[in-house]
Amino acid sequence: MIRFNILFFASLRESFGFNHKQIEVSKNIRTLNELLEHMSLDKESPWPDLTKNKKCYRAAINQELSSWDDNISDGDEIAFFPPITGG
Amino acid sequence: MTITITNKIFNTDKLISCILDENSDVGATVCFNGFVREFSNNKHLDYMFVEHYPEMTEKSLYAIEAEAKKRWEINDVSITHRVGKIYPKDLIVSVIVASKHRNNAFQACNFIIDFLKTDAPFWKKEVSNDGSFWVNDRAEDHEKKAKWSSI
Repeated sequence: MIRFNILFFASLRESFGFNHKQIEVSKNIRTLNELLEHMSLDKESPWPDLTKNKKCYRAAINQELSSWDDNISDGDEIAFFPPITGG
Repeated sequence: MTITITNKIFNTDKLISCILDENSDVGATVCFNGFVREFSNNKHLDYMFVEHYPEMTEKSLYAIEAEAKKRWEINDVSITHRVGKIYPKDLIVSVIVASKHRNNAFQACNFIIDFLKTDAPFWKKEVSNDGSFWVNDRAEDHEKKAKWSSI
């Protein structure tokens, strides 16, 4: 089993109604894209929408801004959020 | 370097005094202060709500400061950002850079705020009589950041 701790911020956190989710997968997931595709298999979840609109969002792996093709591994902290608007 | 994420009103005079106490040979400090505007799209703002990703915020600000130090000779940096509920005219962010000569401090301060706006995980929500809206990122901020890659 591979586990990921997934965090959501700002508008994503608000629309989902929760700020984190533990995901366990049995297959080999290598990239953020693959993780999103796998999550989207659950059609009743909010993940298909997130996947469809991923160009509107950004991601971080272990607190570093990342691209959808970046590699992930067991135990990683993954965050999804809208574009940053600090300052 | 000092990073402060706070839900309280803060005072930049004290931050500059700290920098001067802790560093020698400082000939200039440049301080950028960002405030909450009273109006957004012609609507009067009740307040701004700022959310952040605590574990990533410090990491990203340290990385931005490290890049600034590679580019310019600077003595110290102090970044303060408010989170939570912030009212119009309140300070939301300050970036203070100290250096021996003013040009390095001006450039580094400009660089740090440009990167903070697109890379440090803060999100702003505007709350007014009309409801609440998450603020969209601005193309201008991305363009400003991108310009540094050619400098």
